[in-house]
Amino acid sequence: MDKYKTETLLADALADSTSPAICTTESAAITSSLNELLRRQLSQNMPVPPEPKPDTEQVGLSESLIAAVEEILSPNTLDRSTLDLKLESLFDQLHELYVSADIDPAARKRQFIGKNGLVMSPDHCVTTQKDSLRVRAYMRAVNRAIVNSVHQNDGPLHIAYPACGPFAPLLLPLIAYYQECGLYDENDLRITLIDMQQGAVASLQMLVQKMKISGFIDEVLCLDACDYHPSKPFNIVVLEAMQHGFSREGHLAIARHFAGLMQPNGIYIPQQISLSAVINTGQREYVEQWQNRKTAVCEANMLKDVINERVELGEILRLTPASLRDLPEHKLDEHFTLIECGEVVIPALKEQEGEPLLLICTRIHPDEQELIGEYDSGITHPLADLQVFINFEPSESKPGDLVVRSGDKLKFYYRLNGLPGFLATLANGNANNG
Amino acid sequence: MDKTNHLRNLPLKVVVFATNTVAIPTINQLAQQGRLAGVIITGQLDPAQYQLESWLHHNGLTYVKYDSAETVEIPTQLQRWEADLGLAFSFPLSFDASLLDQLHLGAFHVHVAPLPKYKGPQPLYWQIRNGEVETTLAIQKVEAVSDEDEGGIAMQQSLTIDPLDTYQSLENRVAQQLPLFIGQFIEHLQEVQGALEFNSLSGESSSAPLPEQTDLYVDWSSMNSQQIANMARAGNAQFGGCVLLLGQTPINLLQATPVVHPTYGVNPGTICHIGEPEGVIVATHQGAVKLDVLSGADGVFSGLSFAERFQINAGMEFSTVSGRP
Repeated sequence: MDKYKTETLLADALADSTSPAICTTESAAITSSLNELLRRQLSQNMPVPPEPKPDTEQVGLSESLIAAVEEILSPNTLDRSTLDLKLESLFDQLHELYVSADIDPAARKRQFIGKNGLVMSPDHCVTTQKDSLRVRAYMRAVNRAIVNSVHQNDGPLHIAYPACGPFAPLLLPLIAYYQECGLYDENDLRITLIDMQQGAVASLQMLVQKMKISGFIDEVLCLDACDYHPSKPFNIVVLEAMQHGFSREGHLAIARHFAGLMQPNGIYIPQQISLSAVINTGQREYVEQWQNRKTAVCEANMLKDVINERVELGEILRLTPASLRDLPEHKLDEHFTLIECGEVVIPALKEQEGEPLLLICTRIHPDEQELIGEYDSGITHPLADLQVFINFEPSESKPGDLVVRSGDKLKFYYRLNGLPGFLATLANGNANNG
Repeated sequence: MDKTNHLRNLPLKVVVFATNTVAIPTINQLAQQGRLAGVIITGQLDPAQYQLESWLHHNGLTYVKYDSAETVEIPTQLQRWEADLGLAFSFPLSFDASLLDQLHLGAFHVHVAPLPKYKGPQPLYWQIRNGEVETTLAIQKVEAVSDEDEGGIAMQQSLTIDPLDTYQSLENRVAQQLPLFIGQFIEHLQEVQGALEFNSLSGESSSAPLPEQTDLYVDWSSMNSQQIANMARAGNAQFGGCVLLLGQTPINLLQATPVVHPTYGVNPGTICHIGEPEGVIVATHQGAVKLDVLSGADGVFSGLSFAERFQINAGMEFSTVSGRP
């Protein structure tokens, strides 16, 4: 704007309007004229706004979001390589936004053990978006839950995603897809995102803006999900927050808390998590099964021989929306609260090369149709319990070691605090655990 | 000449037996006062000895290197220097009668320990590691190796050990304090005309050996936060602080600070927190400790820089290595 011209106009007009002879009506008329004059003047002097150019960043993000979600929701058979590529592209877009956003590096890198488990740094969480089979299974289940519930509900569906990380990767791309395609709007879905990390919350706020989905978002909260007490129950809760062997992060504590925050007919995603104990040698399970093979590491590609060699001890914990409300709990002291889990018997084992390992295997059913099998995701790789020694003595005994023999009955507990995870004990109480 | 008159009228001639740089300020003072007869050093090949020899050479001071094969030559050397008194700073020599006969005022060990505790070559290390808040500068009469009695204490003086003292800082402070202390001893020796009174050693004794490699590993299962912090500064920088094992990788911890931090019952040695402003915090037996300064083959880093550079994450657990019982 031409500053001189505007100031002259203002001075002229004000000279008139401040004349003591002017009455109120006249003053109002002059003000109106002044405004009109200013508008006209401004419109003449303002630079012509440039023709809107396509925002390449925005276009890139939108295209990647739509491509990835379309691939995920496609009724066609899974095409892993295409899905990987599209999620990689989406990740690249999101990551570029993340690293270029004005987020305090300290907030991005902070990581700690909280009262309910490990809280990873936002920087370490972002790659979940690329864990294709996990993202696909969860997102398809979430989509199905929304599609099936949205019109049966009075008012919008309230969705919570606790411990969602900096990208809320199992939900935000889907919401952005709905927005882009005009499938649902803020009258249909109201979303609450929760994370303990300030860096994650800053990232979520930025992404919500970039994805233009702020209308869908009720709140982005920076707090421990177990300390959250909403005013109304949720229709859908989406929760992941675990590492392999259902360990380290606070999934179980958060899931139990949110089990009490749901509508009676609410949908908890995942619908079921099954944890089982098996025995195999590490060499066969982790090395020989996958070496010199060009196939992706996933449950479908596990070697039949290796599956047959495994000694299945049985399921030690099954989590469902119903079981979450009814888990037997033992509070030992302020730091130790244990959930009582299943018992298994160690059978006679065949001679094998290598020492037998106790493996905790995870299978996640986001809903009845979706499955994240063993090795499908970073969170479902079998976890070896390296403190349990089956039919052999450790070369060097350490605190917490448990030596067991064929015929022993193992009783499992799940530790809720600090670093959550399974704890194997001898069921007869004679735990040789150092 | 009458020995007593010699004491009154002439400066004493002192021969210093030294193995490291702690003796340098004292040697310097004796030289400036015209009291230095000469310095006897060992033929050991270590940096401290090399530094001492370089300093003596650079300053044109009289010294000879001692080698166990040449022990018989030392009395001759002392006679040549006309030394009256010997002062030994952690010197690994068994003084025999023929040597002591050349020093008519005798020879004295200069200790930095509350004798009879912390007897050995590394009293500073073990005193810091054990969290002592005070040490003792002590001058102990040297008895001939054939004599079974330990020499008495001729003079002693306390010295505070600061909670932030490292091995190096305490050693430097001791080195700076010793010239005054030795000066006072010589004055006293002159006043009493060599007729010193000695206090005999009493109380519980303990040893202060050179720490072995296994002594430097942190035992997370038994050590509390303060013990780990003390262990780090005791070894800083002489022994690389103390050693943490992450998997099979040793990491040197040069400085640590006990902190109040919730650990939620995780195993001692588990990394509980990485981030600003608190830093890198590890659960210990009954508490938590902040890892301030770490070092490895690539250099010296703050705890946070080290964690980021070597991708160390919260939830990882340092291995426990049991050290000396």
